[in-house]
Amino acid sequence: MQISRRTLLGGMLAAGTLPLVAGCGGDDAQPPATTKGGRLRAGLVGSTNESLNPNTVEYSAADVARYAAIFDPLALLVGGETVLVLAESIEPNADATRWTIRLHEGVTFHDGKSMTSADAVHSLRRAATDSESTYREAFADIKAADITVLDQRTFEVPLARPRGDFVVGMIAGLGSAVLPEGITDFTKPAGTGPFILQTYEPGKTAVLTANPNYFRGAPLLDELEVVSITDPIARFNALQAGQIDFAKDLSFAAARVARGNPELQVILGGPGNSNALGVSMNIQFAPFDNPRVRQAFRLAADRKKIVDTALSGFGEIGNDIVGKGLPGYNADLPQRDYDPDQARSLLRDAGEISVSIRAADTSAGVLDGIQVYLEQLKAIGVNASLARESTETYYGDLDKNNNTPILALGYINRPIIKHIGTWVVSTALVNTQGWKRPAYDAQFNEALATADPAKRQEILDDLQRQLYDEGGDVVWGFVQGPDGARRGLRGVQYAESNPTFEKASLG
Amino acid sequence: MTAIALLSAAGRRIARALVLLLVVSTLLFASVAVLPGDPATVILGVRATPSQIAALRAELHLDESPPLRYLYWLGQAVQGEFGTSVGTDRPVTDLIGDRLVATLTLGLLAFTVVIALSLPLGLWMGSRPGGRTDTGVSTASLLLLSVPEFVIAGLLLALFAFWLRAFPPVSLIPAGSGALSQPQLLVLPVLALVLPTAAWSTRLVRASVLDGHRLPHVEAARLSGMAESRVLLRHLLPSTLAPIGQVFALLAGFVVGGAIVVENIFGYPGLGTLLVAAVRQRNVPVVQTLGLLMAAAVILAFLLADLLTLAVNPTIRNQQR
Repeated sequence: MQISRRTLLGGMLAAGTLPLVAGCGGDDAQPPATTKGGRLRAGLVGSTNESLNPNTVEYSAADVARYAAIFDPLALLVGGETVLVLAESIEPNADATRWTIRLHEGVTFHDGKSMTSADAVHSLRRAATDSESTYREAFADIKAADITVLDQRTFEVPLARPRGDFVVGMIAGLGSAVLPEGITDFTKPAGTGPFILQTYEPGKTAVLTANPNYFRGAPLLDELEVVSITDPIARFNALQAGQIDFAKDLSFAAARVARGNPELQVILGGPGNSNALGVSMNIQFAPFDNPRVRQAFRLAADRKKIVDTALSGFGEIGNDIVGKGLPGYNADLPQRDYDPDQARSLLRDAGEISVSIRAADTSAGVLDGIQVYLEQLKAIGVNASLARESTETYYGDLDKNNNTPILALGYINRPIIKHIGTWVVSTALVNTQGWKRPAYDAQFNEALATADPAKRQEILDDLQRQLYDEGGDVVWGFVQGPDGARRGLRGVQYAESNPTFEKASLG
Repeated sequence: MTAIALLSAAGRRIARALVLLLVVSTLLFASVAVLPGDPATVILGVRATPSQIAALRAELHLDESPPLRYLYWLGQAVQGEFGTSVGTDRPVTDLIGDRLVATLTLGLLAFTVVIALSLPLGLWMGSRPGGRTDTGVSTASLLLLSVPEFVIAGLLLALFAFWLRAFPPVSLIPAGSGALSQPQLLVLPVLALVLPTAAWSTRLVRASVLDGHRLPHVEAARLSGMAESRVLLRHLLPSTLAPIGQVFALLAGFVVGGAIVVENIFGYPGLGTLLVAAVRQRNVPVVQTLGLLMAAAVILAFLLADLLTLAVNPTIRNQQR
């Protein structure tokens, strides 16, 4: 499933950017961990090019899990909340153009060296300026050359324009991971994280031991092994046979089997760690330039049925806005219900409607969801069909995707402020809704620049309401994982759909 | 005279083999080139920016014509430079290194077991056609041949890994060890490779042996009162060695192809899993190199079988070939 967490254009903003509790993540689906010791073996998708180099780490889910165990970022989005990690505080100046970051004291790398602002600044600079860095676009507003070190644990980051969402929209994530200054060899890197890398065989496995001096408290586990198993069936087989204790991304069928197996359990990351599924109607094209038609298409979706049928229940229904369960989501917008009668009457004046929905098997639940939705569209009198495409090429043609009347959508569920900046503003590279409103862009930029979280949230709420009322997306559900684990496993947390194990235990 | 003739025949075959490799490499290149989707976009993923895509396209020479790209690659390959894995600076040869050992282990083990099984079985069945062994094994092999390889692998998994819990379903080789140090991980993949291949090669050996029994000098030896075992060893076997050698060369092809399927089902960290992942990721240098490697293995097997035929069969050796 999706593993890359990079935003395309500068991130977006959301409320509550000034966090909050260090350490307590959002995933409360499991009881707290209790037993000490043991080795947890986790199986995730790998790739042919595994390495712990930050520029390429995100091509492999297994590598991301390893990277997150070895290094700490300044802040992270855990469960649905922004959490400060290496940063003790991140404070803006009056107009959110300079942010002062103060690091925790006494944090050391695995080789014993102290972590200081020099390391943090070096890492941030590299992420913002290295030609191969995947965070270059996300950090574009950072004036990297002008970052100033104030003392051993404090530094100041100047921005090219006011960004009230500096934490949620930019810094929270593995892009702000702090690596030792001057690091060049990534075969056995030393980080500050909860686990210390012992052996690494790219493409196969990595073995890590618990860091007894971890500044947030030593992990309960003794050892963590992260194995690359790319084939989903092999991954599930390994879980069933007890060769691994945790398997990321099971198929729905496998998850159903796991649910019925007393030795296994299914773990869901919550909507904060999910993918948003649905269809995207381009409002520049007929028949979707007619708001009544768009409304009808939204009311035609029996969201609960789609989630139960296509996602086997491993998800939550959506309300046409991305970002559910994450900072900034407007939970006050009334949940749209299934209303085929209203939908039919809205279409009465629109005449005969024929649509062909483009879709590919890009991730679990997409195609099945479209099939169910097609039936629901037919039930309201729409002549709807599926135009199936190959997975490899579906995302390739940007031009085509920006000019398709209706296609299947699958967004990584992000805080709404990040989502708007990537997919909704007129300058977005991919804008499948055809939403091009200069006034909206201006309002959004205002939200970005607002340092006060409450004021920013007001603007964000309005931006979401506009999409809710007039937008082209039908987001019927949020699909999570599902992941599998053996029954006793506890304490796995999720940061933007990547599992972390510092609080995990085997019983 | 014979030695020189043998050498020149060998030389001609080696030259032909090289030409064959060239043709294979062209076909490989062409087949990856026609795969849908822009390789740069597929490799970099959904969130790539136009500038990243442009940079990768330049690096992969994607804006030039396919024949030119092929020549670039060929020029590098003959110097022993098989390129770097796309998206990294890592040479392809690095990536292949220990996976090659893993696949060779699997393949050679399977190959040995197949020969050890099918040679004596085929000999016995061909010498006693219609007997109980012959009927039994022929039926069993027909069954195995009719079932697709991945179904056999699935059945093995269900029986041995899940029902009997005798062997692990995924070949997770612990860090720092090689495949041979964990023999229990090898059992199921080797079995999955051996069963369909042995079924097929047993039948072919049996057929060669049946033919061999009808050869005049074999009949003559038997009629002259020679003990059956001597007939088999001194007259039958040398005559059937050549066709059986060809059978085993074909085996190499089956084992190579079968290894790709089996490795992916069992998550075995060899060239098969690497190849599938590389094709998915449009990692052209890796696909090219692996494809060539596998083709070279098969071509080598046939070369050896041909040489065996030449060495063993005097009539062919003396003909102008």
